[in-house]
Amino acid sequence: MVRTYYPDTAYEAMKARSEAPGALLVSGGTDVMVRKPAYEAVIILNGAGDLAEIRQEEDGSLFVGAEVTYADMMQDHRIPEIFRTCIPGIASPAIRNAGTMTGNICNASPAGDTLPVLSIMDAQVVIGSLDASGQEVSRTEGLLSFIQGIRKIDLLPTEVVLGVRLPLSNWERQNVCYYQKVGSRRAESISKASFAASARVEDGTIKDFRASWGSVGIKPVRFPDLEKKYAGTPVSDLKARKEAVTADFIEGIHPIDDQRSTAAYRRQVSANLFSDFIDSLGG
Amino acid sequence: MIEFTLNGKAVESQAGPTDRLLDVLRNEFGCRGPKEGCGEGECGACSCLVDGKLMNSCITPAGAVAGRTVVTLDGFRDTDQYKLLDQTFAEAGAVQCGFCTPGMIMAAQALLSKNPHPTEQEIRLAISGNLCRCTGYNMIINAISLAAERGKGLW
Repeated sequence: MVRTYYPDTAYEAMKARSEAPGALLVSGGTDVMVRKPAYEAVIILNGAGDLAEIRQEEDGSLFVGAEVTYADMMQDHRIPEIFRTCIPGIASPAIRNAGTMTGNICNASPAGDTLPVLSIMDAQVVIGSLDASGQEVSRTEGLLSFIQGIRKIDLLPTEVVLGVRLPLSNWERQNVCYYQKVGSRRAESISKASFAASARVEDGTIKDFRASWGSVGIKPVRFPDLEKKYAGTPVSDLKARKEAVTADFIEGIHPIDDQRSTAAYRRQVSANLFSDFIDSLGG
Repeated sequence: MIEFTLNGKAVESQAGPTDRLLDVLRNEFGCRGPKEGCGEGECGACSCLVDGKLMNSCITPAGAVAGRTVVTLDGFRDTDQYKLLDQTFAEAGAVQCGFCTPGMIMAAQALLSKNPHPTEQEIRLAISGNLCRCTGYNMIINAISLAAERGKGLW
């Protein structure tokens, strides 16, 4: 008999994981129900009301609880605009009613649709557990170190992911946002390649910019050194040197052939999307 | 034991928490509206409403509906809204083999209950998770817009 926990709060969820370390955490279930792993204990999280909240934090960050669905995010005006481009391209209305961003992270698929977006936002994963005296302790970890590999995440058997922190004070100065997903059809499609980028353009100059590619590596691919190298470049310069700049980035992208696409196609699309982003910059 | 409301009645299921809601609905409660097409949440043939929201019952863990309200075509068919959709689907030629139809009807209901006057694009988006391999989609879209047109006050 599978032991089942139905926590009403985040605290109860953490308590359940400390009582049953390694218990399967289920949010929307849209990925885990397809994979159907066997577990001795299961924690059904969708009744934990405080995990279904989106809240503004003191430092200006936006916390998106682990049980907030994609459909919920689309209803909240505080959610950054780039998600309004990304979310409607995820799966289907029924799946967006159940699926969560935290689930997308914890599923740790290279094709996770929100991952390139979260990567350029420098999103942090908020993780909670109970210490020996039953007190809540939490830690945060950057998205790209939390995801360790395909279906591998840095989560202890007693820990629960409480949600995602989006550091908006830093993000809001980005005045250009770009997201594209390439799949075989518009709905119900797992991406062959995806790309998110943003830039702060002031007086015709790129003050800083960020770019992240999805589905071309085990986790989203970002090049902080190259981003720094091109920060401070006038947009007109960047556009004039578009091919060389694109090549500079794409050199570091090493996709694979699989059932959905080929390495060559993914590289080409990754380059095209980056180039399209440069075209989209004003100035 | 998982307690929830199914088509207006309080029920208790003996299923395990990660058993598929689809199997619970069909095998334990005899609801034949939801069908298994792909079993992976991609075809929408198993669609039902959970707290009024469209869900794929094949990938919904049974435990996730504890305390919630589930409506399948089997319960929805007693409503006036269903009767109109039934009529317009027949009129528009939106049914051929019929396997996708219960899911299409539930997707139409999920849409119209929130948006009684959808545009064609909104209808397309609302059924974008429901695959039909017979009629194509135009006749289904026509059926739903016809229902919206005639359903004054129903939704």
